[in-house]
Amino acid sequence: MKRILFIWLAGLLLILHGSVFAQELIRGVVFDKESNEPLPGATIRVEGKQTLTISDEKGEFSLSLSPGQYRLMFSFIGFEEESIALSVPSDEFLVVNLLASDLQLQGIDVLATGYQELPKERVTGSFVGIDEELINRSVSSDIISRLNHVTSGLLVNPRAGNDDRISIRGKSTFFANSQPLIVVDNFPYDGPLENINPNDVEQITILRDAAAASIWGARAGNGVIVITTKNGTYEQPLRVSFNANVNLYEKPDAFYAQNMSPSDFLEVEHLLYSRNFYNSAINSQNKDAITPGVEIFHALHNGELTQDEADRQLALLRSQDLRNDINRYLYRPQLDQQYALQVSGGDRRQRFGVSLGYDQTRENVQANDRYRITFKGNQEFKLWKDRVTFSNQIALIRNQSIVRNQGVAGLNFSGLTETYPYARLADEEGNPLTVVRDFRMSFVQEAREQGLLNWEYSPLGNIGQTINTNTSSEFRWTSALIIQPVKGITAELSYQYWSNNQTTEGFNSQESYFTRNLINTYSQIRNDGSLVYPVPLGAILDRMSNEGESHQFRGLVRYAGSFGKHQINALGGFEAKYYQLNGYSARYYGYNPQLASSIPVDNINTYPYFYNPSISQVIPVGSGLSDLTDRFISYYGNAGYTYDNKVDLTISARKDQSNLFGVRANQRSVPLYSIGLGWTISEMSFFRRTQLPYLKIRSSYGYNGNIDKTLTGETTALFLTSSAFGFNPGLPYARILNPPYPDLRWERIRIVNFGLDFETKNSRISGSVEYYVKNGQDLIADTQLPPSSGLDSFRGNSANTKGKGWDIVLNSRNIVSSLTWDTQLLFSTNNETVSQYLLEEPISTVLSNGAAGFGRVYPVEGYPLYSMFSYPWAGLNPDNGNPQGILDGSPSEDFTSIIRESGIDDLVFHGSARPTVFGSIRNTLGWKGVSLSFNITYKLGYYYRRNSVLYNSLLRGNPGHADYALRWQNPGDELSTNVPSVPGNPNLNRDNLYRYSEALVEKGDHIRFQDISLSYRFQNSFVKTKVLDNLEIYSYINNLGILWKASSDPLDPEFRNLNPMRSFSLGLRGSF
Amino acid sequence: MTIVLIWGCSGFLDERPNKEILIPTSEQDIRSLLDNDSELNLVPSFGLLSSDDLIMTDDGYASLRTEEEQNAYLWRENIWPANSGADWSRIYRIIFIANVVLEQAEKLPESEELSKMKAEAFFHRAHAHFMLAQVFSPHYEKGVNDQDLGIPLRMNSEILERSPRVALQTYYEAILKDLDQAFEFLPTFENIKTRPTQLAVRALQSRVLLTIGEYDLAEAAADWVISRPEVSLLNYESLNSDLNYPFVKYNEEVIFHSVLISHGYASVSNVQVWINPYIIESYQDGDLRKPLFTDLRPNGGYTFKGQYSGNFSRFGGLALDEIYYIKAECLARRNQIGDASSLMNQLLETRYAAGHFVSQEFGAGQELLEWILEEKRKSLVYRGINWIDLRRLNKDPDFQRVLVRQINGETVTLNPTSKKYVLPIPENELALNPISQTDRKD
Repeated sequence: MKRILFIWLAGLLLILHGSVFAQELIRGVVFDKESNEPLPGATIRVEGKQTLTISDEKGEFSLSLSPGQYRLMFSFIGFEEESIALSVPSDEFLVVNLLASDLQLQGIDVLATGYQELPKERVTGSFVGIDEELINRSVSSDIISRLNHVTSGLLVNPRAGNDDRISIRGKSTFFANSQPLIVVDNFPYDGPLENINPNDVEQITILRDAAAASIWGARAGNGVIVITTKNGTYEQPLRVSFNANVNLYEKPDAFYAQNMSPSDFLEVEHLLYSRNFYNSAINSQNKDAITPGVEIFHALHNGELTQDEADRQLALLRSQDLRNDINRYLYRPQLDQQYALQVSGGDRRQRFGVSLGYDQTRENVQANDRYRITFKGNQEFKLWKDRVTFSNQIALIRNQSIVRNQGVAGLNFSGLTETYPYARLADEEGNPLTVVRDFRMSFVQEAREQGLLNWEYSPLGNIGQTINTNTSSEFRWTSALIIQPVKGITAELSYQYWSNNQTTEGFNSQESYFTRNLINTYSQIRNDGSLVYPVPLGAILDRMSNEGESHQFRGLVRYAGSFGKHQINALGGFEAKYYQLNGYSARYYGYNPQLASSIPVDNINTYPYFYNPSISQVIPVGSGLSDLTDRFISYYGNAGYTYDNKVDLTISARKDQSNLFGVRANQRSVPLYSIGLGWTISEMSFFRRTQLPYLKIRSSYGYNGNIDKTLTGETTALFLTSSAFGFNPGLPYARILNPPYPDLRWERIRIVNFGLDFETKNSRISGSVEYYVKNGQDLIADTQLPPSSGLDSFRGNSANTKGKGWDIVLNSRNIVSSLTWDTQLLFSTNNETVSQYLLEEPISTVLSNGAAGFGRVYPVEGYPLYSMFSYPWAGLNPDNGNPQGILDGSPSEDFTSIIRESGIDDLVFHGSARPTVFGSIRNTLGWKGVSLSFNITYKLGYYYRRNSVLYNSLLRGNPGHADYALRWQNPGDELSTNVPSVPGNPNLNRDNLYRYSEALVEKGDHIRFQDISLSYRFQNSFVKTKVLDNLEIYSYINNLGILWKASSDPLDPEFRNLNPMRSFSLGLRGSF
Repeated sequence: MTIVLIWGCSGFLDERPNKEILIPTSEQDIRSLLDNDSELNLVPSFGLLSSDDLIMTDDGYASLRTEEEQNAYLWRENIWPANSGADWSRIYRIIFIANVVLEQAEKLPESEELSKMKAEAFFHRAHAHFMLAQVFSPHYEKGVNDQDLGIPLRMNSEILERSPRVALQTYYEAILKDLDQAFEFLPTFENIKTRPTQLAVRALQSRVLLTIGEYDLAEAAADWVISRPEVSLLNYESLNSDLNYPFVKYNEEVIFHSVLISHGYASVSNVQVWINPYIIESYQDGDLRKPLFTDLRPNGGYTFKGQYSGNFSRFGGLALDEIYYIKAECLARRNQIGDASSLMNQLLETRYAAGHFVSQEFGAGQELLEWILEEKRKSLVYRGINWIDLRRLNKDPDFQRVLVRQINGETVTLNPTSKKYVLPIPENELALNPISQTDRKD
């Protein structure tokens, strides 16, 4: 490969050499007459000759001509043609201004791919450009929210975590990275997305097809988001711009999730008490926690309470609803503040831009905050007759979140996730109250009498005692040198250093429950009654840091030339990347923040637990180290050929190699390529329609790749040292992680894309229609194995997927006068199915996890990646309220047999668990500086599963779902409810039949009034004084509400646990 | 370009993505794989749960954390809810590790150390296969049910292979062959008793051979173990019964250290699961097994604390006391009444407080055998051995026992000839491997 590249480069140099001899150089620049912006991509022809060139990204061009008289023709789509007479030789630097014609291509004219900037009409692949105006239409501190709902083909999964948040044209992978590659200023970005300040962003290009991959290689299988940040421009006076806004959210509502009411839960506790369920907890050596309700039943049973007194106390508990206290004492409305300042400018030889941003978020859980400070500075020089450009960029980001309040996560009970629903957080005066948590209150009292620290837990009292601070400090330095030794050829060398130190500090004061609990657990009482503290008094500090660092180096040669009607643009180069992540974690006991001192603990010997001396453990140390390394080397080439502005042919190829582990050397690399063809029909002489001045068809074909670097081809093992609990403390040992698998390969995604772009006269209607086929091959899938193999699961290249879909964008300018009204319609479909999957996932897992709609995929051959299946539902048994499924064709309540014997064909297949049709309609009205825009979004063609009461959990004492109140209680109830009766004993199969039945599947289709944006740009008379160039106030309301949904489920299909919170923002931006 | 070439050639791409993760290629790496004692030194625990070593109170039954424990305790036909069955998966995991070791070792040049480690892997594979069969396979009587199907035999690490049930004869021959191969290259004794030794091989051979009725061979193997000076009987009188755990780890009787897969029912903090009162009552005055093995709880039951593991884990390995019982039984079965009695007396003397033990003599074989088996049950309580013995002795009408459970006023029995002596195969195996479920309908 290296040799081939050498030959190829040498060939390029030869071509170049031939084109430069014995000619005079003519140089100039093309501007847009109206905006005075340079025009890249303009065509410059010499009348009567075959010579032709294209202006570069600065609008500049040069031509080699032998001495004589010529006429130069300047043309650009959307502009009137211009011509200039010229006599060669000439020293004159030509300045040409083109006037915009009626035709104005909508949106962005130049698309940045990270390697090159392409004029929109030269593109053969599937690229979407988002300009600054659209980025600024919404208000948020992160960049992804700004893309959501305005980008064709891009879907944000609101319920998924960061590892599966964005999907571009589906998800052609099961287990490897599913997120698009993020490129910031030409380099892949390794940091967290929340570190990117949207105020710094000038333009975003989304690459959706195979052209993306052959440019970006093996990590581009999920698409690429190319972010270009702002910079100054040459010959621009000093310009200062600012932006400030506040964004206020609605408050979370604890009642939204439909949990069981306190009185229902007490009823269940009473039932369980009568069934002796709590006896083991009551007699437990672990002094298990008992809820206040059960304590009352127990005291009543033991005669310690009279019936009247018990009734009185129970009535009090029934009247207390924890959700009121959560809403009152834990939640608050989130409030974001954002400030940004930019200074930029430039002269003939240099340009610079500096930006500063400050974001502050008051989180919706009381006492928690987040801050972000961003700084970015860049400067670019032109040297040596503009033939050398040298640029540097430095970015510094500090992002900090402080969690002083665990919120609802701090409300757990004895290891369960939820505490009892009649807990109270504060008394009438707002003073913190204690709740039962890990131990029975009588034991807590007893421990106190023996001199231990207070073992009570008060969620509100604990606020500020345990403080988790997460700080990320990022540094990025990019340097690039571009040399143009001769006309037509540029060589670029660029380098980026990136580092990000992420520190997570968990400070637990001695007053925190965490610290008191740990100290008490290990406290020992001597025979004389005195106390020994193996866990020393004082605070506990957990510190974890991850230090990431990467070096990226890129060398690139470009060639641009034209021969008559033929234009060629080519580039080739290589890239190397080194990425390292080191992690450290440590715990300090007896920590004193004033002295920064700590006390060593004995972590060799075991100590009996105070609450149960039959358990002896060593004191947890919590220290660890990790060391991860990623290395990539890539070679790539990319060429575009245009004939007479009519036909575009592009071809690109890339080969990536990585330090993929334990794989045969020849499988470490993957060659990827794409070819594309575009035909601008409107440029053809036979076409020439005044009603349709622009029409282009294009298509591309090629392969993208994806990689899962956690996989290996050979047996690998994790090397560890036996702990103090082990049979042989200190003895090194190894645990097998991966079985031998020498056939491991990279995933490949084949994409075919067809596109049609058009624009009618005066741009009244414009848009694009795209159809794609996206097939995944050799996808890495995780599958379950029969345990007799020695492993539960295994990952390998075992699956294929087939995907296809449409992406349609229609723009219409409905009214064009002093009042403007524009509409944009986005319509996308994506249908993706598993076409090959060698092994069968257990039905239970397909039902439970396969329908989540995000995260791990549990494939079923022939069905969508995320499929909603369910057990057929035969209603409740009228005699006993048992759920009934179908067994051998008739209603049955033989839960075990139904669950055991149901195959995939016995289930009901509803459809995809991810939207298959989605998009938006955005209308924008403008009048004298006022702009009003509102967006209506829709997601269709998918299903979700609603929550309901699960007795297996409820009858083990866990609070449950409010559907309990709707349960079958008497014959006849089956006519009005699907919620089963309370069973005699917890029965998981009975629960599962109901939980995964048709009865709980809902259609997710909905239309949402997504947002309104209203802004006013102050008109000339007021603002265009000497001080301000521009001033705009704007407001934005997000998440207005559902307009229509298919299901009668009261909850929002996209917000299952927490209410959708509207946000209202107000801001001001301007420049001078 | 040059930089790339340098990087490309000097192993830039050979760097490991994660430093903690290694391809085990050296002898030292294989040593580490074999010292993975938390995965390798485990035995199934549902035999103990199904046996009459223990009983549960109603509350104890109700508070069991998992459904499979409740099902197994009451000998229900179906035991495993979805995704359960650690007794199956974790023991097959041992076999997988042993197979990986054997395959990786093949790639290295031969050495004495490597031969020893391969021998260890053979032992682990044999041990795991045998212990699995005692839970999931029908009892094997050599020459009687040779062709009956047992469970999958795994002799390689090919994870995509679906292993069928194999004939019992084939299965046990593989176990005995692995043990034969293991013996030659192992040291007689190791201080780290989680590692297999020649003593462990002979001890396991005697257990396997006794189980399949090869008494002469079993006796020879047991005799070899007893004759070795590296292990000796503990004198129970020297131990302190006030301790939470009176026996220390790797004590003189321990030959091979292994523990039962932990389950809620067998947790030391579970006070609702008791030693069968029948066994408690059978300890006579001065029998130190009672104070050293048992804890009287406030709720009136006795819980077990006498594991040879030195901590809360339930010992399930090989120890010298078992070997004495095996040899005594084999002697008794060939009517060596005097030798059998004296061996028993020699052992039991160490289990009693000074002056309490009265040595016993028996005239008839049957009575002697009954005594040996009774004492064995009392000594090896809570190790899971009783279940293995129940399965084989049930074939002999003289030793058949009906097991009885009472929970919530209901009585459940397990007859000696019941098919429920073979536990069903977990559902997740059947879902992915086309083998038939064990017939448990009586």
